[in-house]
Amino acid sequence: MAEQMSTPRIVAAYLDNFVGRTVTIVGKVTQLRGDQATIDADGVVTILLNRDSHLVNGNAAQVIGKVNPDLSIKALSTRDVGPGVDMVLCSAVAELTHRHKEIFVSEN
Amino acid sequence: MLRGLDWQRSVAGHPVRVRQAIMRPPAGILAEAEDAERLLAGAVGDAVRESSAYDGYSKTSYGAQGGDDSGGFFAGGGSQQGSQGGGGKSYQDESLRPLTIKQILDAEEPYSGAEFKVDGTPITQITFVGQVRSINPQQTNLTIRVDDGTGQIDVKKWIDADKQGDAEPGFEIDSHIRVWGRLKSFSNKRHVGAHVIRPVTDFNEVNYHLLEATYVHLVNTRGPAGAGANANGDSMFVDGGDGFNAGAGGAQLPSKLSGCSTVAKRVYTYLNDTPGGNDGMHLSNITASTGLGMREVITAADELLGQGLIYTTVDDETWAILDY
Repeated sequence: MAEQMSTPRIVAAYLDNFVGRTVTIVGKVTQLRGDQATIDADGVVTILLNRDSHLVNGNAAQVIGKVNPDLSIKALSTRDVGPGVDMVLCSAVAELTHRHKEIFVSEN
Repeated sequence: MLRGLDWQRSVAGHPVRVRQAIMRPPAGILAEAEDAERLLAGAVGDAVRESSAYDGYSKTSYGAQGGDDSGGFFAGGGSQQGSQGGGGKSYQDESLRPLTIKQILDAEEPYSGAEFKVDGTPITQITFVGQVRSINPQQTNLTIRVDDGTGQIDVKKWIDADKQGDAEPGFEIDSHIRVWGRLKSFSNKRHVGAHVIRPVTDFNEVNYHLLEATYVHLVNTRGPAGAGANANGDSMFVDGGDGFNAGAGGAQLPSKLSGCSTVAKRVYTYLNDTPGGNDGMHLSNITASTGLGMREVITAADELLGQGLIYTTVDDETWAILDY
């Protein structure tokens, strides 16, 4: 299938291994500058926003996007997921999804 | 009385022919009765003959000659019975499995129309959390494409025409929803027939669901968490030090080293196998004996120190096994 079926959940440390792939990353928005944002997902990640992005500084955001060679992420879909998100849980779950690929990640 | 006597007398007084006629029913009546009896006997005989040939009747000639009605009845009865029987049987096995969409797509279907299995366990009702990618309202149902990062699947929610506003999805594109339903297969395409769909308002539920799905997956593939903890209990909480000493060969590494790098394991093994007294071994001895570089040994020693497996003795570059 041409379309990538799964968008693995990652944190900043995984970016290296996912260049050119579409990923899901959840982090706290630390900076909003025009068409760029930075989020903290166990490390700072730069997001190149699209026009539909409506992120809120200080809130958590879920970004689905493609990892550029410079390890920034070109957003395909962004979503503000509110202030009360447990970030430790988020990174633990991202870790978990890589430990149990059989139920989370399709190899294609 | 008198009339009775008169009747008897009058009968006795008649000639024999007449007496017979009076005493016996007329021949015409007799003949009719005999006919009736013969008919009756014939009918019963037929019935008996039919019942003796009943199997053949119902199975072969009935199906072949019985016409569409009877065939339809049999087929209908069969399928009804089948579905009722199946429903009754699986009713006891009803469960609610939390799944990822990848698990739903990977679910085994031994043959078309068979029950789906995940991790070897049949699934009945399922629940999952994902983001809405598209909403496609149709005459009788809403078709919603849901994506949870592990895959995508169509969810169909039937619209109750009698319910006001049932056709309104109640959520928007890209929002997170939780779905309860059953996995269906229709012309080799899978979809979930939803019973309930509700929007997820707290994003933590997304993570919660992934944890729960993993938990159930692990319970089904590796056994309950309790059993696992018992099996590993010694190594985790009693540090496995005793086990190591018991394995006098020295080749067996304690399981507390399982999280360490290979270099750290080599350094630990060397320290353990070399009788160095209470003062431990100096960095130079270790590098000389193991062939490792100084930097490697220091990094490994830091790792082992961090794990509480060794301790520094006379100076910062001399270590001994921490045994207690």
